[in-house]
Amino acid sequence: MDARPIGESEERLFRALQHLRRYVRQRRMIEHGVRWVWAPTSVALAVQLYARFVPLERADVLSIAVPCLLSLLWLVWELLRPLSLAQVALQMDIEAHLKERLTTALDLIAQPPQNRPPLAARQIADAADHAERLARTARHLLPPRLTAYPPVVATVLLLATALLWWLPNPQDAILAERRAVRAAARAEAERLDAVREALTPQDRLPPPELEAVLQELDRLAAELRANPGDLEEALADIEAARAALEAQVPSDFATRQNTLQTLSRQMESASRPNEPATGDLQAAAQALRDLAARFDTLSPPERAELANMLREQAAAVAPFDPDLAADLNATANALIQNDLAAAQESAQAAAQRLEAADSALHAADAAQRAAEELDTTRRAVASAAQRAQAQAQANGATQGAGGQNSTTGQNGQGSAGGQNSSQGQGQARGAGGQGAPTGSGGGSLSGQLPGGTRQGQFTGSDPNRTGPGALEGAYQPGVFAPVLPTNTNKDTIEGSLGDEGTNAERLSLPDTGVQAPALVPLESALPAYAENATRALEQEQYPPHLRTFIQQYFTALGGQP
Amino acid sequence: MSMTPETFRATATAIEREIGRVIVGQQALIRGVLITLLAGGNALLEGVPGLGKTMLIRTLADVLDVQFGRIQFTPDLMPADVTGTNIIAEDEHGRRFFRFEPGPIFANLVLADEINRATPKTQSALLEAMQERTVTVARQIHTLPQPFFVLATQNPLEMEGTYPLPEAQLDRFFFKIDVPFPSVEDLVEIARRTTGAATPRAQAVADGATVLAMQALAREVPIADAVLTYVARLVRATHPTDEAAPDMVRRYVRYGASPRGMQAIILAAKITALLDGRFNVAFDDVRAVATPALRHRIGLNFEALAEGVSSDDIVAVLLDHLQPQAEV
Repeated sequence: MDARPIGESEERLFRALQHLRRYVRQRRMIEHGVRWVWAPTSVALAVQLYARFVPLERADVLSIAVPCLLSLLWLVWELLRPLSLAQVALQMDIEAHLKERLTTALDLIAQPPQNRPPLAARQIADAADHAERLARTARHLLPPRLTAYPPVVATVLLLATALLWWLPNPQDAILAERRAVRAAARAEAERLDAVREALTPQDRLPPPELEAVLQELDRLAAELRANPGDLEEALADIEAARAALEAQVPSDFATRQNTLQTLSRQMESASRPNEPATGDLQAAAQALRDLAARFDTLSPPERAELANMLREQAAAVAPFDPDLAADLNATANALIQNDLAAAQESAQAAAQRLEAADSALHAADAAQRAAEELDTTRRAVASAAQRAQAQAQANGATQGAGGQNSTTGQNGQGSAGGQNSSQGQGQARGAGGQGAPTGSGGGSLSGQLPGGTRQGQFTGSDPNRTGPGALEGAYQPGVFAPVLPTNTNKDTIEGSLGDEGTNAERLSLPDTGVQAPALVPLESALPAYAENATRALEQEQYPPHLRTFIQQYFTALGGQP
Repeated sequence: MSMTPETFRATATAIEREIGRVIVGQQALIRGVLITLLAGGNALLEGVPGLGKTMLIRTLADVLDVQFGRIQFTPDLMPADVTGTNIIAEDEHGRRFFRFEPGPIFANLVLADEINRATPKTQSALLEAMQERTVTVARQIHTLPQPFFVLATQNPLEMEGTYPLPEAQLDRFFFKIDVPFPSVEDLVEIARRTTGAATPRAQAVADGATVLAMQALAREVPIADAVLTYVARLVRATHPTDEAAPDMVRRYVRYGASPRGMQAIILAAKITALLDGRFNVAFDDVRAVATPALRHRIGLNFEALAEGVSSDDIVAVLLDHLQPQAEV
């Protein structure tokens, strides 16, 4: 009954089935690929549609990358998907109408030879013959079963995707705003780092009050760096930090400062009549200690005069520093009573309190300056967002979008507006060349950057205008050397680029700046700015040829640098 | 006796050819009867009188050269009239003793004509013999000759005065074969053959031993697990409570096929495969024999009867509903 040895038939059958398995796998991949070709294209379309309603970064890349990734995963899955010989046999049996010869043969082979029915050998040989014949002709007999519908659907979806890709996306403005906010937030974070560095004392540990200010700046810089481009979040973070910093500034800060400076000068004059008074509290403390050491050398009238001076100063500082006032009064009383030991002890205590007051005053000053810097930060971020949105809406136009200085492609930022404020602390402290000039009627300026020069002219804005213009731009390394405003009717900056200042340019400042009112009136801010400028000039942070200009500028504004 | 698939097929073809000399047309009927015979089962033929049922079984007996018996079932037919009975006899010494007198069932091929006209008691006597292949009379077991094949007939039209076979007894029939009315061409041929001077006669091409060898070979045909599973799914789907049952089954079927139905399908499919020259069972073999194997094993409810739905319709829906699945 057996036509051939059963082993030989099994071998032929397996060989043919393995050949068929390769073909079935290839054909299955082709069939499934064609059948599901609409899936990746629909994913691409879905990404494009999604990007129309939700801001999605790199939607174009995603609409290509995601379908490609899915296709790759599918390909890997198809290649690794198990395909047993039994499955191949059954499929070939049905498709090639082999009447289940191959399946039955495999079942028989799986049985132990002694358990096989007598017809097994013939059945397996018959199956092997059919399998070999089929393996030779499978490509012609069983071509891939392809249907036209899925490719047609995929083509339609692809065309729709291409159309969406080509049409302007309304979410681009939001994305541009996010990018701009993110960039501005990071740039501002860098600037805040520089501000923090400038506020940190180099020769000693910062006092606790100043440490709180520095920590607040640190926290805000970290939050700005982590900001994904959310304008609201960035503004909220900045506003929260600004509020926290302002909370550290006493409401009567200016009065305290003036009072303590007067006290300092009085002390210094009393201690060293022949030397000019600096108004520094540390010097005042030292002067008080010097005086205390010389109490026994003072005549009674001198003691009385000193006691009167101390009482006057005690009365002046009593509203905000009653302990200092008490120590000063105690010193004065002891001097009147000729209790020199007690007077010296009280004077020492008063000197310590003066030093403490100096630290607190410096911390409050730092907090105030930091808060002012945050105001600049807030405007910079908001302005960047607004400008980016306008730019995106103008479909890539680079001109006329809020005075953007796009002709130079520089690093750093500056801003100009028509509001009542002028800030120059950034450059005064060497804080990375960042400044925000604003002004009402007179304009404002900003300027210094390490290395090189850049010259420009801000010609001011309409004094009656409430919506400030804005200039945001990245400066090349250099010095922005402004010229005093001469024409208040123009919203332009005239200047030149380069070290030699030979490339003249004119930047338009349309009335599209940050629409926010000034938080600090010019008359309130000017004294502090003028003082800062004075300090900067004394510390020789400005080039010599600009010092006169700065002095003239503040004089024109009504301040005394 | 050695039997190969080739001799099996040749013999079966010869049997069909010889029967075809006498029976005009009715190839499906002849093939069904032959499959039932080779499977060792019994067939229930349903058809109006005069379609050649008796002629078929008689011809089959001639072709197989085996003993033929015929029982005309009537309401007054007693079990002993079928199985035989003990009668008093005398030996050479004048002593009386009981001697078993075999009934007409003691033949290789038995025609149980109009089986539904006999009482259930008599029907049971026949059906017990069909199932057990033995007859018990007076506590003595008498073995029926081999091969043993009963071809029962019933008339679907005249239902008055009949005793329809209960489901349990219907289940014992391997196939229920409908006998269709001949076509015009077949009628013409019947007229030509039976109204002339010469009456066609079939030649014997096999014998009882050959049939038994063919029955043994049929059981050796291998069947794949996938095909077995398909048969099992098919039988389960005849039950209205099965999850895979189509809606038509749920709506019209009262009860489904028994495991005997599955056995009948598999055996019949094996024989079909051999007749087709193959050494294994295919899905197509199963589908080809499903209707005669299942139609009498599916009980329809009143709604089906009222709407004219037959069990053949149910099986057709089942075969359409359950297709062999091989997609990978």
